Amino acid sequence: MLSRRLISARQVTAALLIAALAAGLVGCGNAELTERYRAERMSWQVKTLERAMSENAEIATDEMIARVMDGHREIIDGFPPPDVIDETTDPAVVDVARISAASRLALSSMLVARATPETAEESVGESVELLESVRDGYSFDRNLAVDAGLRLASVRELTGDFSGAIDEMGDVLDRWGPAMDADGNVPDVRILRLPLRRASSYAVRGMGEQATRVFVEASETYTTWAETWSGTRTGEAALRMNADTYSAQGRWLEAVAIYEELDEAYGSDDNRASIWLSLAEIHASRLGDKETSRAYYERVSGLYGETTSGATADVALALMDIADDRHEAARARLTSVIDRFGDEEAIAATAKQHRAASYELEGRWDSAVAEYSALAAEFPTTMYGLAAPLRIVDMYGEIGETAAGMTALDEAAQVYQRVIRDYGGTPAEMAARNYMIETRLRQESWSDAASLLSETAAQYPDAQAAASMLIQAADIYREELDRPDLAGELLQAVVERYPGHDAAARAREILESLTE
Amino acid sequence: MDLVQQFNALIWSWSETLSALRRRVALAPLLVYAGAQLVVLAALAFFAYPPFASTVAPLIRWRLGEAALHYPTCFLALRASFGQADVVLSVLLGAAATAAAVWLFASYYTGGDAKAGEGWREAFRRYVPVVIAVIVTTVLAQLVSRAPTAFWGHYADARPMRFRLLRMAAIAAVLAIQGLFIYVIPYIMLARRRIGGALGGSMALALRNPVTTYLIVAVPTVLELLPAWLARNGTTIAYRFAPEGLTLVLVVWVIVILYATFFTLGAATRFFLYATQNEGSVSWAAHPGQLEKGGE
Repeated sequence: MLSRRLISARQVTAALLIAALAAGLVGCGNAELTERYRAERMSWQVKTLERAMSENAEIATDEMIARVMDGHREIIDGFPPPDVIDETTDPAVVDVARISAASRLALSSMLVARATPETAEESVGESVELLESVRDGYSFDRNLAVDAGLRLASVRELTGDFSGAIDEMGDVLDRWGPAMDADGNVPDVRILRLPLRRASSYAVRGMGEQATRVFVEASETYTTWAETWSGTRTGEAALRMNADTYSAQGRWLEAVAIYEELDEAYGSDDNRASIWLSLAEIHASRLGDKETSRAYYERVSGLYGETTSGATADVALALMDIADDRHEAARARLTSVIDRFGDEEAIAATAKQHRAASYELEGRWDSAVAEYSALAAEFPTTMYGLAAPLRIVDMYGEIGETAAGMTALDEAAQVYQRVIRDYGGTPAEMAARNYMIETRLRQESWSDAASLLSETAAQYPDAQAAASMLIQAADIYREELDRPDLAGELLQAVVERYPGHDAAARAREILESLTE
Repeated sequence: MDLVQQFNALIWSWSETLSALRRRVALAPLLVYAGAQLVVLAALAFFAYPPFASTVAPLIRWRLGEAALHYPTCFLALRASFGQADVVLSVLLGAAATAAAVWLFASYYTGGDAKAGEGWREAFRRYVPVVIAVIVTTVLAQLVSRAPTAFWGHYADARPMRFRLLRMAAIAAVLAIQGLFIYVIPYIMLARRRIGGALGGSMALALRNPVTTYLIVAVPTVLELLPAWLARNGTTIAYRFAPEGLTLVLVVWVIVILYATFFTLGAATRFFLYATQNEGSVSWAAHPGQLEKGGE
């Protein structure tokens, strides 16, 4: 009996031990790890939607955007700001906090970007709340807190709360220093720009007196930082920002002094070309000292000829030669730039443009036409390449070659048509459309011009000029083609599509005059 | 055996294996092993949840680093973590499962009707030499398969084509090693040889019949090409579909490996019985069917 009982007790003990072990295994999870996994999974799902929308704009519907915003809300609700985070905190907890903060920042941006006049107050309020939660609740992560503070300043500026924006910038400046590490070798560019940004905000608003005071404060801040972080990359950046601050105030001599100090204290092969280019630019354009400017450009050209800074210096020297009527020397220098930087589209196109302009200034029309034509053919999507065909037309106009000008206009239309066809969906297409409209207007091909204007506005409805294009098309239908009905349709479209735009008021005015 | 005889023996071995498959001979130990693989896979895929969060997660961190514990990297690393766990599993459990399967195949080929339990019993009776044989094969195969990355890893970016060729050569070499040692377990289980004799006997038999042996090992490997390709494109699967999809790829892989192993062991055992029927050193006493059908 006893032995039976004992055996039974053993069995019970064994069963209890096994149950305890099983319960222990199930219970002894790692809650932090599980939470991080959940957070990362939810974040990945939201990012997958965002990625899909950025890869294919067609699926970026309101419904999809709402799903993304809901995803961020789910993360925010599921993972509130942590109570305390310090060096003893489990890294998984820190990761979860970062994910939640990133969602807060992303949602706040989306709320502001998608706000309509009706929802603006509520959306901006929610956005500000989210940003404040990151600024105050996630200060363990400098990047997040600074980012939130700066975004808060931007939102306040956007909503017209200028003093709020200035206070926010001041708050960020008070809380965070200009270096991201203790040694000062990782400067925080966002903080470094802030004193100048704050002063510029006053200047842009025409608040001259305050701007002057804040510019002085900015310079003092930069001087202090430069001294505190002397010999480090942060010190160097602070000095450069001080030079920019003096430049922004038009205090060129002080700016030159700072650049010279920068050159002396921190000059190296990595930054010297850029410092000398800044000095050359100030001496030439602001102080009228072409000799010193040329000396700096020549130093850059001589020492850093194979870099883009060297090319910039050579182009600047060529422009000086052109201004002094030394065309042969200028063109030789520009040819050398084209030979060395043929693959760098922006540089080669700029050099070619100035070479063409040099021929033009000398009155060597055939060479200028050949050069402009080559520029349009070789670099069709660059700013200068796009402008070249109409420049040829203008040139013929200036020398009174009307027939040649008309032919050049036809050729320009062909060039722009090709760019629109071959580079659809790129910024070059939009620019080519603008030039094409200009060409059609000059050709007095009104119907084509009006169609192109309304087609471009339809293709780029969010472009700043879209509403104006529709008004211009309506003007053409009204004044040149005698089609007030079509003009009315376009004006109505402006009123409906761009209710808050100045163009809508203008469209209403014209519509009223049409009905009268 | 001349070349024609070797091909004949190969095709005959495969046809016998197919007939064994129809009767589900020796599937049980291989299914137990595949089941264990799926349990390990589940533990690795659900490492973030209890009870694995406190048991499996530290192991993943130890072997693959902290990054492998983050979503979705954990799924991209699943192939590597599963591969490492499978090496251990293949030695501890896979060796016994292979030995049991060989025993059951032999029983079927020689007219016996041994049950799965008998196979396991026989396998565990010779567990130590079988495990040693598997360790030797695994270590050699791992060394050769890692050689291209270890010695010529710098070619991966500089000369990708050369690196690819080296990796293909390494795969061929691994198959050759597996071929050399494919008869070790049959020698231990069926001929009751000691480990040294089994290793020597296997190599001798493989070298006498290189074509049959190499094809017995290499052809079923072709089955693995699809899941291997899917696993190699793990990043695409994770980004285009869902990271969790990579678990499904590995489940498919486990199933494919189950059948590939079945065909390799089935054909190798059949060929072993045929090729060694007249070997004086082989004691068939241990064999349940007494080789009544051997050498048909």
